[in-house]
Parts: sequence; structure tokens; C-alpha cells
Amino acid sequence: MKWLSLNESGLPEYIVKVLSRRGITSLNPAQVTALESGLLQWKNMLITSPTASGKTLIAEIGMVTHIKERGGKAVYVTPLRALASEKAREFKDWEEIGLKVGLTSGEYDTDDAYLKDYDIIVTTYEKLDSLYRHRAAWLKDVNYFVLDELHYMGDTDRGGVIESVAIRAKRSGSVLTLSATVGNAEEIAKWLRAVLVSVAWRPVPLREAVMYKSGKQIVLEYKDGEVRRISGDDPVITYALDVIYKGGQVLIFRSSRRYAETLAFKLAERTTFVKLEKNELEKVKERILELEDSGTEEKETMASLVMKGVAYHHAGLSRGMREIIEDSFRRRLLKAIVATPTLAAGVNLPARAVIIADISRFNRRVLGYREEISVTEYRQMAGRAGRPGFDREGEAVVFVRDSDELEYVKSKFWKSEVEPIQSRLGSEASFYSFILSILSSEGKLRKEDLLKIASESLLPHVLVKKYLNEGLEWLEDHGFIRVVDDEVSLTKLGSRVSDLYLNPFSANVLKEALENADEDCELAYLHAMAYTPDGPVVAVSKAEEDEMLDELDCDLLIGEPYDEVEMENYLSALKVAFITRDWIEEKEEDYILKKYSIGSGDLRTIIDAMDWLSYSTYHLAKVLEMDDKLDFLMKLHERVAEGVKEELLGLVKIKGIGRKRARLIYNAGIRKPEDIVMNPEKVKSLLGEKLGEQIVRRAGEFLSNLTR
Amino acid sequence: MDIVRVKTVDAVSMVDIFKTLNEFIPEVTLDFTEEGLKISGIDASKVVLINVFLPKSYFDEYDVSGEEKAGVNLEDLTDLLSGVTKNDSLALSGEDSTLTIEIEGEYYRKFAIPRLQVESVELPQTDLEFPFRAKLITPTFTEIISGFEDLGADAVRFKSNDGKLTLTAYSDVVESTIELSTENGGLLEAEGSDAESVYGLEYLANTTRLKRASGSMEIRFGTQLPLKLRYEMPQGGYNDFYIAPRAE
Repeated sequence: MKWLSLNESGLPEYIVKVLSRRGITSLNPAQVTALESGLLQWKNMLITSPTASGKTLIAEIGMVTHIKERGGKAVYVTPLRALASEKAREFKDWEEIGLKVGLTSGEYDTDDAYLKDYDIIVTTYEKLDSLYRHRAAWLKDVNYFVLDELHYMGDTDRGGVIESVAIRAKRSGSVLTLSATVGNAEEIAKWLRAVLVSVAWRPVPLREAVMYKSGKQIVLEYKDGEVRRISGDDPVITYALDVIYKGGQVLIFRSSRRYAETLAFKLAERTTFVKLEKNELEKVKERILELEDSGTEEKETMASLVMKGVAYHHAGLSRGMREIIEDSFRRRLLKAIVATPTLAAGVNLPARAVIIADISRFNRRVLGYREEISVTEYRQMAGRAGRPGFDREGEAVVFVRDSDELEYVKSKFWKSEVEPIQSRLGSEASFYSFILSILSSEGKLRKEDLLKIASESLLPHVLVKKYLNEGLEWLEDHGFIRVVDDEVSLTKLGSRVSDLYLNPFSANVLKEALENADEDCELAYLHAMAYTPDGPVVAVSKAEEDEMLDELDCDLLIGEPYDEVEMENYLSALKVAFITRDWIEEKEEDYILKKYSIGSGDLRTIIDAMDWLSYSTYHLAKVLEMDDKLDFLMKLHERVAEGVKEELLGLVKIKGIGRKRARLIYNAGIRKPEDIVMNPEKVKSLLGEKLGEQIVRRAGEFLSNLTR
Repeated sequence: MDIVRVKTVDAVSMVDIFKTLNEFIPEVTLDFTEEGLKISGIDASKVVLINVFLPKSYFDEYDVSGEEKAGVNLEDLTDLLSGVTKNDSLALSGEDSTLTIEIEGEYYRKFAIPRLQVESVELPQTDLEFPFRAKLITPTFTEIISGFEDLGADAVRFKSNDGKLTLTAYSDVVESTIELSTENGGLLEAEGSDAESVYGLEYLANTTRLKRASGSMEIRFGTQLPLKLRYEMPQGGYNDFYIAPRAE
């Protein structure tokens, strides 16, 4: 394990210059190993190492030297949007030496042609897949790929996309792959035709322990043999407080949102005597209360918690809220975050101690909704322990409730190998989507060429052949592809579905719904959209189920399924439909959150998905030539996107006018953009001088664009 | 040679202080300074912060130069001291690695216990601004709390309104309210604005063993602020307890 000073590293001057400005003086052992393994020769490389070991810098060196020496473009792909923006911000440093850094994510039905002027493009796997489907011209200039967090390939939902992007990348240029430790690293490296570089080095040493209760004492048994006892009632709280009162920060993982929230409140009752920067926290509180993307109750609850130095964190929170919490934790204003395991997968948020308070986690997809956390997940969570620059060492502690499980937990998390990555293209939904994706970027293909590309997947060859045959048959039967003399190509429908980034099964559900529809019932359409595999999922209680079925005021387009699991999806889709309908009926956000017991993060996720699905439904109807439905579907889509009744659609087209402002001025008699331009004083009196003036100007611009 | 030697003729009070501390903390550091003996700490649940000060003049003998710290296990110490009576005097003297305790009354007893390294916890400043303050005689408070305990309550709501202090003890099934004011004689002094907070009864009750050692006390609190109980001791000494509020 050696360090190397920047000057002795042999890196080109333009790299040294930028790194020095960042305050980097030497390369750490992970980075040195990468250099020694051929980073500067741009060999295909799979680097597995713990979190926070400086992998991003390795990727930067690879990308920048490749662009500088070989020309072309580099693409950096991450599994999460938040990560993509974080990386793009970091990479801005390279603009100093003349490289342009671009970021693209979200919005699947476009080719982002403007990116032709950029050198480094940061994106997500889904977005890159969709860019391939749109045959973006600049993609052929990309000759260096960084695939970040490749271990996501094992994720049931998203693994298929990541694998298909990896297949494309290795066909098009040099590939640098970054991953957490995986069980079958050698197999993956071979599959990627890459040199395997495994580094075990961590910037802050990690101590692992299990914790359990023994009488009135709490016992911590460390992996290195040490045993520590502390007295207290609740083990998780006691240990967390022990760390906090010694000046450290804690991340606690709980299996469900509810548990995370409850624990945060319990912990906050005990932080009265912790030294907190009250003035700074007061500012954090103000920021929270001013958030526009959160419900009132959520804001008030969180504001009172942060004043105690504690917060909870889960996907039900709005993005703005999560960002404030993460930022305040990084600034060490918050002492503890209680989170669901999703946080471990996301942004880098190190803490002195990580407490894994449940050895199982909530998963809607498995029987009983509980599944044990995997060794991979454990490593992800434990890997957050130890904050470089602040902690001498990190501690990862698993709380074991049942002492019978003690030995089992120790042997599972401390001794077992991390699970291998397995291909997720094995599900019909992912594999068929993969076929569409290849056909849309490659055009017409002979069956054997298609098989050749598909065989580059991690799936066993025999399975690929079987899935491909079944897939082609299903896709042909349902009108997505045509097969003529062994040559396969997309039909107009198939090509549109691929561009829309819609799963073929989703497209099929929508297609059948469109064919069944003989009246324009919003709820029925929204239900069909939500019922597709691409639709958002929510929890439905028995009481809600009865109420919804009671309130149903038109015939649904999907028949009630017999299967119990399918019925659950059916009801979830119905709830999503009701939520979306309240949204387009301009119900207050606070009302919706309370009525359906969801968080603002959930509402955002639902609306984003329904926005895209309603857009896709419109385009499917168009390609299926159902012209009588187009007007209704376009309006429905626009209303979902903006959350308004039909009468406001004219006003919300103007930038800066959302559902609330539109309603305000509409009720005062300003009904369309022309009215804004004609009544500037009235608009200013309603929206305030400064904003009013801006809106009047934008309305003017909007109208002149229309007439041009 | 002794580095430190202090002596009090009121052994019982000293033992009560140690026993009270032992309700909250297993080990403490006795901090002998030139001004007097200081003891501070926080309980394992981090709900109660304790600050004890017994000035030099509280003791009948106080022979300390500079500052000397001695960590002790309170369980061991209070076990040794369980038999003291009101006629006993108590002396503490410290050597390098031991703390010697001498009890003198009807007969003479001497013990030596090891001095411990107690992990020190950084304690925050407690210069909080409390909106309400009241003074009362210690038995008034301790009797009320003991009554609440008999009732089976688990929390007490402190509420100040118009200079009156209302204590309401409750649990899921019981409730009892007591009103104290300068008018009804329950309080010696009261000042400040209206406030309301809830504190755990168990923590309150664990402080009341000081009823013999302290004659009067002061209560301060505020909405969502800790409760500060100051048990006043002779010669300007005090035992301060800051109890964190419960969320409701």
C-alpha cells in the first residue's frame, strides 16, 4: 500500500495543475494501484474498492488523459441523478484546461444534440440507454466510458439497463468500471474484457462490532476481539448518544420509514445537552420552512427535529428536504441521521459511527414484506463509517435483538463473501426491452447478429438464445417488431415505444386500454397508466381499498385480476389514479399528502412517472392512429404535468406560473396570456411588483413566439 | 503523603449526595479545586446533567493546593458508607492511586478504594435563559414528588401561569395536579413568564434523596427547555440537576 506524491506520479502537467489547485498533493494507494495497472494506457479496467477510496479521481485521470491524447468524448455514467449532478459539479474543475463538462439526466424522449460540443458528459444509465435509442449523433464520438457503481447491475429493477449499457460501452471504446466489492469480480472483469484491480485500502480504518443487550448492560463485541460494555436502556440510542457526546456523528439505518422517524424523535429527546451550533441550526430550520417542494406538516416536523441536531431521511421526503439534511450533516451541524437503507446506496455521507439497527429491511416485493439485508448492502452501509479528516477510525455496529442470532450475524456479515452480481436481463420485461433498445440503435438486424450482440450479456448463452426466441415471438405477435426473411426490425409502434423509453409490457397494457376505451374517463386512463410495469407503486390499506371502490365513478379499462398479487398492483394503481386526479383537480398538496398518507417525495415520484406515462399514452394513441382520442389525451397529459384544471392550461404555459399562481390570477379574471399583457398593473398587484413585472414580460415573449 | 484532605462533620449529608449521584451515574470524578469540591456528569440516558459544588467553607477541614481529580465508583463508595449515622464525621484524603475514607463517630473506620480514570465527557455550557424561576423549601418539593410516585404517575407537567406554578403528574390512567404560589405559601419567591414543559417523574424522584442535605431549592424551566433543580446547601453550596424535557 503505497502513496505517491503528485510530482513523482508521472501524470501529465495539465492533470497535476488541476489536482494541485484542489489541494491534492499525493495519490492514495487505490489511485497508485490503478496507475500501475494501466490507467494511462486506457486499458479496460474494473476497479473494486471500498467507498471513499478516491475512485472518482481515478476516473477523472482516465477521462481527461484520453480526451487530451486521443480526442473524442468521455461519458461518466452513474445510477442516480443526485450522483450525476454531484459528479458534474466536481468535474467542472477541468474546464480550467479547456474541457467542457455537460450533465444530462431525466427527460427520455430527446437526443440532446447540443451535447456534441461537450467533452465530458455525465449522465445516468437510463438516460444513456435512451440516448442510444434516439441514435444521438454525438454518441459515435464517445470512445471512453466510465461506468460508476456497477454493482447496481444486481438490482432487480434497474440491473437490466445497466447491463445493456455495459454491453454497448464495451463495443464502443475503453471502459473504466468502478464498483463496490462484489463476489464474482473476476467473472465480471472477464465479461468486461477488463483488468481487475481490487483494492482493500480505506482512508479511515473500519472497526466492526455487533451489539446486544445483556441484562442492564449493552455489550459491543468487536471483530478484533475487544468487548466493551456501556450502561443504558435502549442499545441503539445509548450507543448513538455515546458517540455524539464524544463529538462524533452517527448514521443509523432502520428497516422502514416509520421506524426511522420514530427513532429520530426518541433520539432527539436525549440531545438536550449536546453542544449544538444553535445559530447555524436556526438557519437550517429557516431553509426547511421556506422549502417549496415539501408539505407544511413535514416541514414543521423536520424543523423541530433539526434544532435538536437530529433528522430522518427516506424517499418519502422531497428532494429539497433531503438536500438540506445531507448538507447540514456534512457541515456537522446535524449529529445524527436516521435513514432507511436507500441512503447507503446514494450520496456519500460519512459519519464516525454507522448503526445498523435492523438486520432485515422492508421490501414490498417479497412475501411478508421483509427480507434480510445482504452482505453487499451491509458493506455499503458499514462503508459509510469513518469520516476522512475528522475521525481516526470508523465504527460499524450491527444491533442484534435476538441473542440466538448473534453467531449467525457475525458469520454472515464478517465472514461471508459478498454476493456475486447476477444478470438481471433474465426477466422478460428487461430482456424484451433490451431487444427493442438494440434494434432501435442498430436499425435492421439479422437474427444471428442480434444473437451475437445479446450474447455479450452476462446471461448464460443457452438462456440468451431461449429468451431471444421467446422475445422475438412475443414482440412480433404484439406488433412491436416485424421479421422478414430472418431480418428483424422495429415497426412504427416498436420504434415509438423504444423512443418513449417505455417497457414493451407497459406499452401493451396501454395499447389494450386504448382499444378498450369508449368514453373519456380520466380516472380510468390514469389507472391503466399506473397499472403498467412502469407505473409508480404505493401502499394501500384495507380501509382505503373499500373507500376507493366506493368512489369509483366510471368503468376501468383494465379488468379486475384474479391473482392476489396482481390485485395488489391493481389497487395500488387505483390509488395512484386517485392521487393524480386530485392533483389535476388542483387539490392542495397538504391535503393530498394527508389524505393518502404519502410524503412529498412520493407525490413527486408519482407525478413525474404519470407525467411521462401520460405523455407516452398520447404518443401511442398517435402512432396507433386513434385520432379521436388525441385531444383528450394531450390535455390530460398537460394537466398531469402542471397539476391544474383544464381552464388553467393557457396560463401555465408561461414560465414562472405554476398551479398556485395561475389559479390566483385566473380567479381575478385573468384567463389567458393575452389578459396578462393587457392588464400588467392588475398582475403586479396580485403577484407583487417584481414578480408581476417578470411575468408580464414573459407573457409578452410567449405571445410573440406564437405569432412568429 | 496526602495530596488532598477534606473533612465534614455532617457525614450523612455527604453520603446523601453520593447516593443521589449514584442514582444517575456509576462513576464520577471528584474535582478538588482551591475554591471547593466540584462534581459533574451526565447520566447514561443523557437526560440529566449534574453539577455539584461544595465550597471550601462547606467543609470543616479543606486542605487542597492546586487541583486534584479522583475518579470513584459510586456503587462501591456508597456501599462502604451505608452505615453512617448523624453523629459521624467523614474525611476524604487522596494519595497517588487510592482514596482514603475515614469515618469517626462512636468508633473509627477507615477504608481505601482505588482511584479510577473516569472517561471525561465534554459538557456543554448550561447558561440557559430560563423564563420562569421559583424558590421553595426543599421538603415541599420532595413531598409532592413522592406523592406523585405513590400515585403511579410517570411524567410531570410543569406549568407557570401568572406567577403560579402548577405541577400535574400523569400516566395513561392517573392524573393529579398541585398548585403552588407565593399566595398559598407553597413558594417563597416566583418570577417570570408563562411556560410549560413535561419531565420524566423517575428523574425528578431520583433527586429527592437530597431532602435532608438541603433546606431550600430553586426551580427554573421554560417551554421545551430543561428543568433546572438547584438544591441549595449550606455555605453557598449547591447540587444542580438539569433535566431534559420530554417531547409530547
